[in-house]
Amino acid sequence: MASTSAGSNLIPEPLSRKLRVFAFDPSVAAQFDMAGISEMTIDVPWERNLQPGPVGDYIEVIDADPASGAFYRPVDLNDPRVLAQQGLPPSETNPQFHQQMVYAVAMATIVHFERALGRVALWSSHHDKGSPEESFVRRLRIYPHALRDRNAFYSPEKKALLFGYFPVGIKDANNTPGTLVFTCLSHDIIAHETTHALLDGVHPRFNEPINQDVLAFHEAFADIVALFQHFSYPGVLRDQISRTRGNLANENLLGQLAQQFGRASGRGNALRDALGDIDPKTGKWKPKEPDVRILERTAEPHARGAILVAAVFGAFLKVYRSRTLDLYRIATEGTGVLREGDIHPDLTRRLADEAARTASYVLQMCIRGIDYCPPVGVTFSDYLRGVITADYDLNPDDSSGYRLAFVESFRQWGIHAHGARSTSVDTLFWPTGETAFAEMPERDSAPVAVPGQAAPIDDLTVEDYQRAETQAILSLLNDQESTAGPDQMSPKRQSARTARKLGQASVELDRYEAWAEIDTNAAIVWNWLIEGDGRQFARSFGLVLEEDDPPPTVFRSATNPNRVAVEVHSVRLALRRGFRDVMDTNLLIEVTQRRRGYFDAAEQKRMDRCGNTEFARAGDFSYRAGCTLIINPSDLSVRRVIKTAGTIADNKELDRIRSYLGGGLEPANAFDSARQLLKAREPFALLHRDGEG
Amino acid sequence: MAKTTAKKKAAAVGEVAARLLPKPGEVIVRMYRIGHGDCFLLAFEGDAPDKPVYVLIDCGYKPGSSKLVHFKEEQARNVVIGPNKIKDITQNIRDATGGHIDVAVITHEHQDHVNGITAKNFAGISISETWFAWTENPEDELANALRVKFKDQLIGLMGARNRLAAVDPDATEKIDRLIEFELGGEDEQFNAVNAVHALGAAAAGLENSANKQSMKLFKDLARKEGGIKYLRPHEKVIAVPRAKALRAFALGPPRDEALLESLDPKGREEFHGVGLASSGNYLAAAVAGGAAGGDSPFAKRYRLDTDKAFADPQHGAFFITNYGQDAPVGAGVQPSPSSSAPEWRRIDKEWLYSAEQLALDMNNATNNASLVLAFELGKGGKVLLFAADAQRGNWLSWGRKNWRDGNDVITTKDLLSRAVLYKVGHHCSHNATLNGKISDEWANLSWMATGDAAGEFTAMITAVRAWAETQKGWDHPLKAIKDELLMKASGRVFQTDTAFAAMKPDDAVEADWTTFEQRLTETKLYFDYRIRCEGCEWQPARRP
Repeated sequence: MASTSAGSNLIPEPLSRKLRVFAFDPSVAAQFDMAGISEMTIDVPWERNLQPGPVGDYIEVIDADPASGAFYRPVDLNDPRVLAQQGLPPSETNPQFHQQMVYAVAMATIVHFERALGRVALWSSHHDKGSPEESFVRRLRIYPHALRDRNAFYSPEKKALLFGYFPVGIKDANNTPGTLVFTCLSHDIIAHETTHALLDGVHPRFNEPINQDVLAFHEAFADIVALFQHFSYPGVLRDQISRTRGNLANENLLGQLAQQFGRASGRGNALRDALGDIDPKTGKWKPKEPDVRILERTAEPHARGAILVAAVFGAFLKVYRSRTLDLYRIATEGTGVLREGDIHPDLTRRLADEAARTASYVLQMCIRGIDYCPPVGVTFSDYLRGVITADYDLNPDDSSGYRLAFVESFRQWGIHAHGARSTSVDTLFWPTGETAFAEMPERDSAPVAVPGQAAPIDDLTVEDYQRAETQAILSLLNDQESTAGPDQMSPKRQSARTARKLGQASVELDRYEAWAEIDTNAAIVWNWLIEGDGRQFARSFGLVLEEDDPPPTVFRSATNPNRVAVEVHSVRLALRRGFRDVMDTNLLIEVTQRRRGYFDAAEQKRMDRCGNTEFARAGDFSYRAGCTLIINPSDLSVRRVIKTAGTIADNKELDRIRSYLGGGLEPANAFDSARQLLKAREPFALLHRDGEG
Repeated sequence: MAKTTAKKKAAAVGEVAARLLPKPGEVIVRMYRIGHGDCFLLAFEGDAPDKPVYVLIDCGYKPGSSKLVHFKEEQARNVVIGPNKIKDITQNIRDATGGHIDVAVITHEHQDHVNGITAKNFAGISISETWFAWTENPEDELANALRVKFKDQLIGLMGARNRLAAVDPDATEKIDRLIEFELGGEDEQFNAVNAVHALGAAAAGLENSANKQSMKLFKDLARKEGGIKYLRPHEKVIAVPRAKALRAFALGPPRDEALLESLDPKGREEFHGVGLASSGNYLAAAVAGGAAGGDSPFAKRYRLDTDKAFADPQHGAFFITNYGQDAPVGAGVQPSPSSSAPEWRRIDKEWLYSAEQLALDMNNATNNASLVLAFELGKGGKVLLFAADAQRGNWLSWGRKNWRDGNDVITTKDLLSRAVLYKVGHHCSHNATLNGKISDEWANLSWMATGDAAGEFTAMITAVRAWAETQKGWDHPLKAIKDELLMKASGRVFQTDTAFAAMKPDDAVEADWTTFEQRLTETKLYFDYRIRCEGCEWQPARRP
């Protein structure tokens, strides 16, 4: 690493920067009995070129407050006076501290993500209106004082987090009317919104509400990350372990989100609590009991998301309990009954270690799971399968029983794999390439002959399949990109591609290169899948090509109307330390197809009619289907095939989405229209309004 | 005197409409095809055969929509039928009632329910009683508090709207449409700027809105005969003057205790002055600060005013490079071409978009303040349900309490199970008819017409689809709900803009449809739907 001034090479670069933040939010900090944990110091990666703002490599904090007609002076975290005291001291009245806190918490969240996914975090690309080109967004922007509203949200349009502030309107023991609540001072709200942005970077289509789980998942996932991040702060963790005498199922701050925001909205407690609720009758906190039917009754995204969060938290508690049983036995001389009063500080420390380790693993599992989801229309059930399969692939040995705990807890909350005939863990694994091929559904009609293509193969013996697969993957990995780009994959990210073999990218790449690389990789994969050895597996991947004669509403290539359009997105390499510390590599590929959907079923039928290529009007919505492929470059196999609920030619699935969008007969309660959200300028702003954080 | 002038005028046009006289044991519901809005005249048996009891529920429409009432039919049959004018409708009310309405109901203060109520349109009509929801009661503490809050928000909203208009004129369209609901009037080209100016955007000015004047007119008319009622839900079984065996039940709007608590009177008094009582008002306070913005929450030393930030010697370059501006000013610092400060990332207007949400919230709040009435035709008899524009919040409250009726208890579920007519909530929009199962704890469509009433269930949708489609994002009626209603009512679903001939479903049972047909009359101006009511004749009450 080049040094900037003489002599400085004597000093090693620091690994991290220590910054002070409110541990939860200013309301917790203002409680006398919380004095010990009101603030904390967190470590964020050392960014040498961190500019005032702070503006770093991942984040830029710009403190504009248009409602007040003002900007606030940017904080310089490299100022020696700031460095010497580990950042500015927590303060509600100093906007520069607000800037420091959003930066610190957002960076901490990004670190969790990168560690779990084994690659650099990228924000979703920017699309200029009317142009197919995408541009790189290096930094997520954070506006700590963007709105005068009881709201904070991630804007996919602006690639920015907008935090609001608002006056307290009620008067009770926790609130003084007229005082301001800054959403940017809540650790949980920052972590939650940053996670929305990170998830959007991985799955830009996860904000299209085509079933009732998609938006709920976005919310739940953001909550899960925010919650489990609490456990990575030792001071807070020990304090709460000590207060609950190690029983984390009791009411505690770790299981709650956004205390101040919740109280200021008049609910008397935190905005959300994964463990329990205030009973409206008694006014007392009571734990949540799992309910297998609750999903059927719940449609609102936050309420639905809370069920997923409770299920994950339930799994965490199961493992934590089993891992601490021995400690309790030792501490109680085998009786299992703790004496009255405080528990021993040593026990606190040991329990905290176990809680931290368990929480960290659960968080990693949860984040890794998003790589194992279908590219569009995720459901809770898909996610459960994703978490379980990803964990198995990385760590086949599950000695602590994490996977079993997940499956059991999810089952208790009514989340299970659709159509699964057994409840054991292994039935939840996504199929391997071989299984997907063997289980391929029969064709309805004989394949249509396609000029220049060999007839598709529908069955192979196991040995033949394995040989063909190895051969195909080998050709994919060795494919030098052809000079002429494929006709359906015009370069979107950079004008000229460098010829490079797939999989040469490394985690050390600059984030811009990593981003541009995706285009190159996508072209290689497209060629392989459509023109090359991959085509023989296309149907087992749930893709519909010319030989399947899909309806004319399925998009055709822009350059060749005889070809069905296939879009390859997000070809990325993930590198992780896996089982027995072996480096584990995954090549992730997302493939989708598009079809014009019409709100009117009769119109759809008309447009779907054979030979119809004249579309009187563009579709009302896009129906997308496809798959996520996980390829293992080391043993040359298709590790997992994760298909969407239906193929692009599947009319039943299209009908389901139509009826959901059209006012949903599927959700069990109101005739509320998901279409409203589909068109919304800021989808998350709508979701996050008034008291729903 | 006034009556005779009215008759003369009608005569001059050529005809006097017949009185609306129900036969013994019959109720007539006249659904005026007024446009996108509500106007119903109900005739019940009174104390003499030629003296029925008349109940008028609302009289309003979205300006412009009345021209399109017959659009579908005109297209289908290639004929010209023409618009339904408000003065023809009120003339018909005058003729049909003989100039006297027993009970006038104003469900809520929205343009499309009240703008037909003007002194001119209702000249020569007297009213015995006018019914409002408790939210209009000037002696109700909670209602007053709500109104004060609402008025403050409206003022703030209009201020925000004007500021937004200055930076993004296109963005105000939606807000203007919502403000139009609250202020009312009959102008087809509603101009929010003019409206705001005309009212002076002041507290006093809002009292003179067209909606307020309509409400006042019906109050004044009823006051002459001493009958203004403010109805609270689930309070008592309401008697209708002179009507035989007819009883009314108020299901909404809810008196929300949680709301009552959150409106801490002390806090309200204290903070009203500086406009901090709610987020909406906080927005308003910022708006009131003008271009310089409201008070910043932070001390001056941290602050750089927007117009000076880019020229600041210390931080100007930072904001130019990172935030950017349309036209660089001062200090000669030019943004570099590779500036990472593109326009699409800025947030100058974002905070004002909160205004749109505020407008929507206020609109929903007014809809939820709808007076929801169930008319019971004799004890334990058939029920006519008029849901006004009640949305989700209002619906959820219906089933939470019961009525005491002597020694009996009447539940909402029981009332709804006997519903033979449902005036569909809010033009059949997405959140104004709840879906659900009969076992659900909230009132929903499945609760309706489960008993003997099932075979007779009929729905009325007040919507002009062709007009709604001209309004961005208005899906009235929502297909999903209408389909559900069509199924439940075997096709017996009236819609303002749909001729009877177009109503018949393909799979209708001929005999049933003929029976239905015999009970209705269709004209250019209205549908009459006659319901048999055994209970109207003082028969001994059936046990529920």
